[in-house]
Amino acid sequence: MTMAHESTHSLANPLRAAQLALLAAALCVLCTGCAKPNAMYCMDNYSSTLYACRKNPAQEQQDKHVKAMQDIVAKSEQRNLRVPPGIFAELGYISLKAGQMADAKKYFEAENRLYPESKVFTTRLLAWADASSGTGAEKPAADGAATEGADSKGGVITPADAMNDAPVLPAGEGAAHE
Amino acid sequence: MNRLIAATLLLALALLGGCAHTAQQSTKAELFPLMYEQKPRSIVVLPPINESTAADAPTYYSTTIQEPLVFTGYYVLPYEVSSDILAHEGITDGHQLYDLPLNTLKEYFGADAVLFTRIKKWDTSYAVVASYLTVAVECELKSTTTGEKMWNYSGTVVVDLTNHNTGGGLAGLLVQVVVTAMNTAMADYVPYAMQANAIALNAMPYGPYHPQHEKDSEYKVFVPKAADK
Repeated sequence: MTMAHESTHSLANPLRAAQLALLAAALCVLCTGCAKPNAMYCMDNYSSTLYACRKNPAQEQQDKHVKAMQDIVAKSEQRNLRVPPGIFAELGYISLKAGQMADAKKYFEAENRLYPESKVFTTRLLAWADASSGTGAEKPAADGAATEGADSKGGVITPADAMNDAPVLPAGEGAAHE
Repeated sequence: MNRLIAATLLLALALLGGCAHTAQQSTKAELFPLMYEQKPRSIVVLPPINESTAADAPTYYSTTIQEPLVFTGYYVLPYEVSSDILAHEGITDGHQLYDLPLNTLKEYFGADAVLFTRIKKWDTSYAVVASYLTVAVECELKSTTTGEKMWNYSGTVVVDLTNHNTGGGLAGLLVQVVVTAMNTAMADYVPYAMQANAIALNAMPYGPYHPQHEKDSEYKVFVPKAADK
């Protein structure tokens, strides 16, 4: 009753209406206690750490974003939720770019197992990680950074290299459009 | 985030409730039949098409779409990865692919559908004692198999940045101008972009990982004014 009255009253000021609505919604969620059983995924701080990376593209922000994604994985497992689409793949891609191929593969495989829809994409990323780790000598994740450091400097394949097999666009079309 | 979405829906309902007699409603199945026929499972999001006056809008807007889209129940390729790969191919704006066949995206990413996002407005209008921040986005899903438009919807959020709580008189007016200018300077568009996304994505039929998948065909949504673009 009061809520309805307030929200019509404050329509002149959408910001205030938004705040009230937010409060009301927060109360609803808290009161019914349905937040947990109904939750599909835990996305935690994903969007905010990503936004921070864009505002300030420093390594420190990137590390925070990685930490946020690792927390999402941990919390999802705790709460018995499926890890959201893309989280493992994004972690894998960051590992890949850092030359940590064993980690990258582990993450891509996790995404692949969890989401059959990702098969084409993760298979491609896995092949890329394999190609980037040179002759395929398996190295444990832990010493990856240390021992592969020198190797990967020369051996890292850029996305463009990896795309050469299957370009997104038929040659010439992109340029024609421009 | 769930709360933010809930809050936005509540706000949208409150706002739309007032003009329900003028706006036309239809079911999701009537508006977007191809979604129920083709049953896409996976989506790749392209870099935003910027039609606003803000050059930095795509940079920031693109951080807001992954999370709400994931919650609609589709497999969403991680935008940070797919956009990086596309950038190496010279594709940094969804507009570049809008009129091209999309089957290459199916082959490369395995995605059933492509989401184009268009930033229509991302600005603050100034007046002496009032200023309004507007974020308007339009989302469009196309099939990578047939190239057909399967779904589209838009979301607009207008925020009054004026501080209405200052006293009257000339001094009050001055204070108000200063406060408005400060609010404007500090305005952060991203939270409102998230609300605009929530409004738009609320009209999307749920994907395979959502509990309401294939149970929402009779859900009613407002018919967009400009149904075809």
